[in-house]
Amino acid sequence: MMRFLHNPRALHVLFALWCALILLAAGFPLLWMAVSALRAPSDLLVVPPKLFTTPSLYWFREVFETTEAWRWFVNSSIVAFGTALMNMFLGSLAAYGLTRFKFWGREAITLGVLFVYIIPPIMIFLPLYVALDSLGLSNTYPGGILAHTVLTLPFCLWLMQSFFRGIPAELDEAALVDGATSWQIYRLIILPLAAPGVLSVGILAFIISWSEYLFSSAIMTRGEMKTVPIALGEMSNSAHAPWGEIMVLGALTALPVLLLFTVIQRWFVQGITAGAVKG
Amino acid sequence: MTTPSSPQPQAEARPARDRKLGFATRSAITGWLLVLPVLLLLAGFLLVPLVQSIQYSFYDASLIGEKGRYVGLANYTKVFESGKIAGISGITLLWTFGSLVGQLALGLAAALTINQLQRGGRLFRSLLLLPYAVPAISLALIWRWMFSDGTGILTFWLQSLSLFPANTSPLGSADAAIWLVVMANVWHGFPFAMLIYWAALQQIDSSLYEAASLDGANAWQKFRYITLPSLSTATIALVVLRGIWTATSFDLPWLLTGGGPAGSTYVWPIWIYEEAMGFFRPGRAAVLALMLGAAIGAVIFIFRRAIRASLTTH
Repeated sequence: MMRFLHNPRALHVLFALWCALILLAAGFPLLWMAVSALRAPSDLLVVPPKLFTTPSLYWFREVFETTEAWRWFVNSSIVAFGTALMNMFLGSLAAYGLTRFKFWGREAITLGVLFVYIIPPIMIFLPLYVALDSLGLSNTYPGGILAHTVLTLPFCLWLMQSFFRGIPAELDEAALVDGATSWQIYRLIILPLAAPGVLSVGILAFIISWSEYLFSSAIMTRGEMKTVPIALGEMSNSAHAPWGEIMVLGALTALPVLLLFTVIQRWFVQGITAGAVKG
Repeated sequence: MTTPSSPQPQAEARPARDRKLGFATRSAITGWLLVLPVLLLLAGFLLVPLVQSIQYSFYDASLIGEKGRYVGLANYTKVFESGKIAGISGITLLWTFGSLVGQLALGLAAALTINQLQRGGRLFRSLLLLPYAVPAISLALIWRWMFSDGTGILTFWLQSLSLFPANTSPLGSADAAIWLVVMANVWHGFPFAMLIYWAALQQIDSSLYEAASLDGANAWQKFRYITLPSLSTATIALVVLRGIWTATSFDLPWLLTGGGPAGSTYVWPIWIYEEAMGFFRPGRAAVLALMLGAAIGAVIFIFRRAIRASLTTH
């Protein structure tokens, strides 16, 4: 065995096999969901399960003809878009303030944001729901957007801050000398340079909101207000879970997230590895 | 006007100083105004609810949103007398540490693999990151489908290999379910560990390996004495961060098993959720939430140095 390992070609083959194994382990559940969503009814619930079948769009048609799926997707989209916009707007203003202005309490706020990020959602979901409900915001889009903004803002602001710090301060100092106001500096210098970062944060907020379950399960409960995760969770708990429909909806929920995540991935990797952990 | 120290030169100096002072003040006010919306939002919907939890825990509301009567420590004693604390804590710890060990081990293996790849490392990394992005609901449903009785592909494979008795469902088995839930979470969370470990590996000075090679060190010795010690900060950060996230995560166990079978996957966050949304006992839910918060606070306090060392705001 040891001699075998000294052969470089054998080592290469072993390494390639190992890489393939990891890829398969990581990718199989996703592939299986896609494959299951594209099954004909007669191929779905068979023993033994078949690996390959002829693709069919039966369950896609079924989902959009027999369920309120389009409604759930519209709800999820509105809430996620709203959350993304709130994060981009409030987050970029605050990040600008925290990185470009000196004021009393700045350090405390920077640290405080990091600490509220650690507060687990399960600790606050109930009082938050009560607060939104007493404001008449449960089962409304603003309510869902507010809840998801509270969930995403600490992390998004923190990411945005590190992005704003990367923009050289000499630029706005020069503009200041030229007589630009704070708003002009923000509008004309900072925002264009920070735009990729702000947009990435928006996409990240969209992803988190789109996938969120806990807060929505308390706030968005009425039939016509349900987001996809809530509706899908209920559907899967019925006595005879309709697996075909569930796989289609599961795949359609995951697909935009996977695409968007691929778009921001490079930035995400950079942010996580540079910002979160030092050597 | 007649004094030698006429106000004239001072008056000339003052506007300059005023403008300077004025600028600093104005800049401070602008800074505050920019941060204010975020502060108000987070204070109103994050900190106030947190404080309200404390208030809830002393009242006997039997309906969500109702205030109820002040009952002192009754909610606390009810929780302590429920006899569920030890069991549920045990399951939560098992779920947390099982997930951590799996995610860190697999994450490190994947990071080392990426580091070894001469070509296609980026693509490999991108593909391996996908499980981390999958929404909890899709994730839970895939695993339930793969482990469903009879027709699930993994159930079938396990049964064909005689690793699992026929005609039983893996997620329905009180012995196996917790490990399957952990496995789903390892699959979901390992890419994060991979990323952090990969970043740490990038920072190791390659001359260390060259020097070690010159001294005749073998691959294992290089790994043991150079690679592993360089990963300690990353490991601590991962244990703390992912530990907190896992111990407080609700979605995955709830959507996968709902705490069953026979309570074998009933983790603490599910307990909080059921007291609140299932039994309509906000008081007890608040007590449980505060206990969880206290436990996490203790962990953060114990590891505060390590956390500060690993979390940097550039």
